[in-house]
Amino acid sequence: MAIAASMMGLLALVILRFVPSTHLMQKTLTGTESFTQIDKAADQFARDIKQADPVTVDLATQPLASPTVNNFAFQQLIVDVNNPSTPIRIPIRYWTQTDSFTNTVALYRNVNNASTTTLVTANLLAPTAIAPLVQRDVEAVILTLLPATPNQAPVVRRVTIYH
Amino acid sequence: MRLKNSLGEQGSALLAWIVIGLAIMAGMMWYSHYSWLDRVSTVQHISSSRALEYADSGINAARDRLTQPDLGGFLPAGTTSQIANADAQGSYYVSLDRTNADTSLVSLIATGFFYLPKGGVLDAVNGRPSQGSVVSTKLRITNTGEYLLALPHAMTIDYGVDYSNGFIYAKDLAFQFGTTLPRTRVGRTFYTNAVSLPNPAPWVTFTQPAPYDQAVQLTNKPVFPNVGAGSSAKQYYLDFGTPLPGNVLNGLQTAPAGNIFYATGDVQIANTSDVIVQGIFIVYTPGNVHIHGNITQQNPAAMPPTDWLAIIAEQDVHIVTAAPNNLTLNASFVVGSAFLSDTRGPRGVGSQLTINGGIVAQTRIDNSTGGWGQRVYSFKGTNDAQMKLPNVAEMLDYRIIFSQ
Repeated sequence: MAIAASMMGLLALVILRFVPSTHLMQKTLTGTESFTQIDKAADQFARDIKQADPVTVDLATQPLASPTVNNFAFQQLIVDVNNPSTPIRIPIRYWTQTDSFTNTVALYRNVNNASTTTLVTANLLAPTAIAPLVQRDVEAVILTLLPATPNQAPVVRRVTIYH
Repeated sequence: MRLKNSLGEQGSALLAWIVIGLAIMAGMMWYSHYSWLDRVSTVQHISSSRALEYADSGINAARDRLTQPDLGGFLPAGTTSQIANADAQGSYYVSLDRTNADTSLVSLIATGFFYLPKGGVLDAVNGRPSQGSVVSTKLRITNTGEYLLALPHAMTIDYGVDYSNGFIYAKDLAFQFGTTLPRTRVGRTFYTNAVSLPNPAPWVTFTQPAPYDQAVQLTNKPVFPNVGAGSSAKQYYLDFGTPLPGNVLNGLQTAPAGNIFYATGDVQIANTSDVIVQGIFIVYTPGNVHIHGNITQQNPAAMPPTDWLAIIAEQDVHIVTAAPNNLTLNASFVVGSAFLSDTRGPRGVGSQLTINGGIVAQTRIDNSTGGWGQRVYSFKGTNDAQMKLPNVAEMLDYRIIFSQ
């Protein structure tokens, strides 16, 4: 009887130790899912820019290096070999929007001025002066998405815009 | 009875152990599964990026191939061709299609494979499981002999020049300001990075209709051909060229077999007498070219030209200081480095450098230091199939069709 009680007590201690850990595990899993989602969003953003007409990726006129600007637009080209002088231009626009309730930021995407837009990812921190959403290197664009989940590293992509 | 109860309590404790143990194991497996999914996601991300890199490598390989001198042999108009390569980690396959509608356009579809044991697609040739990416792009191919002036750096157009019969490209283009007549005249002008403002400059006459009534910004920087050491172009000229005796070109010079002369070092041109070109041919040198006198054609009135010389220098082309004060060069130049007039004092009123042809250089075009009273550039060239000049490739669009 005494042995059984001791064992049960030991078990209770073990379980009690796992209670906060389970909570931590859940948070970790949520964070992992969020990170994957942000990672995929960054991939999509990067691929869109990789396909852009470099001339239209002009941060001089769209200074997203400033965190106060939350709108980034460019165009993709499709050239028809039978009519190369008038390529089809597809405008793409990304922008961020703050959720005042959760105080996190969501990233949206619009293609070809369509009436519907896509929520690319949510649960981001607002861009900062140190880590703006988009900044320009000499011939590349650097994207930075800041996960709102604590202790998660920023998701960064560097995209060469001249092929 | 007591023994029975005691066994029951122990049984309960054991049961509790088992349940709790199973719960812990389930939790660990759950966590392990999520970690595995995360790892799979990361691997998929990395490998699909690598597959895209292989597709891009295919595009770059095809573009390099298209800049080589024998485009007509490799990809005649209205035909298709393939390029493929593989290494231990992946492969690419590129199909090239050159349309009849506009023979300067080539459509490319590049498929990149990054080998992965549990990849979602199979390599098209060896059947290995892979991650795959497909990229579509279109290139405009321009023969270097079609440019009046081309430079992948900054170029300033002097005020008052007449460049109206050729087209010009520079990464950064500036039109020098002036007020006297005649004004600057240009034909088609292109840039990729920057142009002097305003564009169009009011002191420049653009002779071509819209959109060429101003300097036109290209989508991507044109890729200039590599004619240097180790390049495929150099190998082509070595393979099909005839040695240039003494590395000099003087007097009446007829086209060699294969229409290519290959020099082994610096080439002296017209150092004893003006060069008179008969036939269509190229002189290629791995060194510099020194121009001492005129380059003319035996039959200059023939249109299209039946006599034409193209000079390809891996290094510089120099117009020497002792060259005559009225110098005429009827030729096309493709220069691995710079095209220069060697520095000297003024040659006096009436001195003139006349270049009827074109210059494509990698680093600099500068004849302002040659002391010329006037410098006149006018486009002339030939698209004869015997003139195997390399090409410039410009990417017009880039589409990721598929990336897993």
